[in-house]
Parts: sequence; C-alpha cells; structure tokens
Amino acid sequence: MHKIKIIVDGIELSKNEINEKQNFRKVLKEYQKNKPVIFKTVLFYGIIGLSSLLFFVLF
Amino acid sequence: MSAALLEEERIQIENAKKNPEKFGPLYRKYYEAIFRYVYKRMDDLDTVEDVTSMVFVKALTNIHKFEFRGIPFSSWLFRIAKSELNQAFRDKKGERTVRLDKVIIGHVMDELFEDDSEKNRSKLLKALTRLKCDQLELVEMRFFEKRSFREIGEVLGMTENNAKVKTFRVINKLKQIFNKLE
Repeated sequence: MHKIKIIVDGIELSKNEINEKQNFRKVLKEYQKNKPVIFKTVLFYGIIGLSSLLFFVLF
Repeated sequence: MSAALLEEERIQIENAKKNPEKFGPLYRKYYEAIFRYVYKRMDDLDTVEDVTSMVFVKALTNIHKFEFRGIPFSSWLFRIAKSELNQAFRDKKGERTVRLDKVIIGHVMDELFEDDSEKNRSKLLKALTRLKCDQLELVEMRFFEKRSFREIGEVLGMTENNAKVKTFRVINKLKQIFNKLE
C-alpha cells in the first residue's frame, strides 16, 4: 500500500508558469529514441518469412 | 467540444500519425491539463515535468493505435498519464500526493458529511490516506476534479455505469473509515 501525502492549500501554479515548461523538441527527441525500428516489427518478420517460404516453394 | 473543434482535432491527429512534427498543436493544447493532472498527484515538481513529458512521448509513439471513434483524445491522454504516474510511483520517483484546497474540502464535507467542523475536516484528510490508490483516484476525479462518470469511465477503462457504482462503493468505504476515526 502506498503512503499518501496530503497537501492543503499548497503552491498553485498559474497557466503561464505551466506553459513555460513546454518543450516539444524534447518530446520529439525522446520519441525518436523510442520509436519502433522496422526490423523489430512483426510485419517485417512476416514479410521476410513469407518471401523465404515462397522462394523455397518456387525454386 | 463542438463539431468543428472535434473535426479540427481529428485532422490534427491524422496529421500527427503521418508526421510526428505535426503533433505540436495537440501537445500545446493538452499540456496544461496533463501537467495539472500529474501535479495534483505528485509532490516533486521536476518529476511532474518528466512524467508530463513522458505522457506525450508515449502518446506520440502510440498515436497510430488511436481511433477517433473510440474514447476522446483527451481521455486517452489522461489514461496514459495515469499509467505513467503509476510507473513513476513503482520506480519510487515520487510520493503519491493529494493536493487540495480548503474550498474543495468544504464542498466534499457538505456533500458527504453532515458536520463541517475543523475536527471533521482533519478526519476526512486522515480517512483519504487510508484509501487504496485506485479508490482514491475515483474520489479525486469525481469530487476534487468534478469529472463526469462518463469521463471517469473513459480514463479508467470502464463503463459509465461501472464508474458510478465503484464511486458509490468508495464513498461508503470512506464514510466507514471516517466514522471509525476518533
């Protein structure tokens, strides 16, 4: 069970203070690091597998 | 949201699916709401910023899975935010926090309990800390953030009716804990 901390009338951040923290470039950079790579996808292995099978059957 | 705004959002989502750079308008539109959602549940400001940022990274990574016919985009983002928060708590990056002001406490006291005295307000805060995290989430969304049962259901992945029933049960539980406290 988590310990729960209660804060009453704590610091209220304004709309501007919050929006100043925006950093879309950082999000894009992290996305580039995390985005799925083609050779790790099921589709990639599916195509490779199917092509190999067709190759053996036809030749 | 009006039909025109919904259509605009649908176009923004479709554009973002084709080009990640086009995710910018959606990021700017929902940044504040997601930040506030996380901030109300977490104590450390730096971690709040990191978690908020991660919500949008995850949203961008999975935007191809989002279908406009399902839940609204905002609820989908809050769902990711909830999941990222839970991950941050599991990784011990922050402490589960409830941020309230005295006005909200007054409203909850009026709605759920008869006597709005200073002693009972303290009892309510103590009772909240005895709830499980999923129970607390329902109280926060319904009573502190004033969300509809429909939206609660969309964010928590349950039907509107189920959200209503579960919230009712949590309120009974909260009252039981409250009444046992000295």
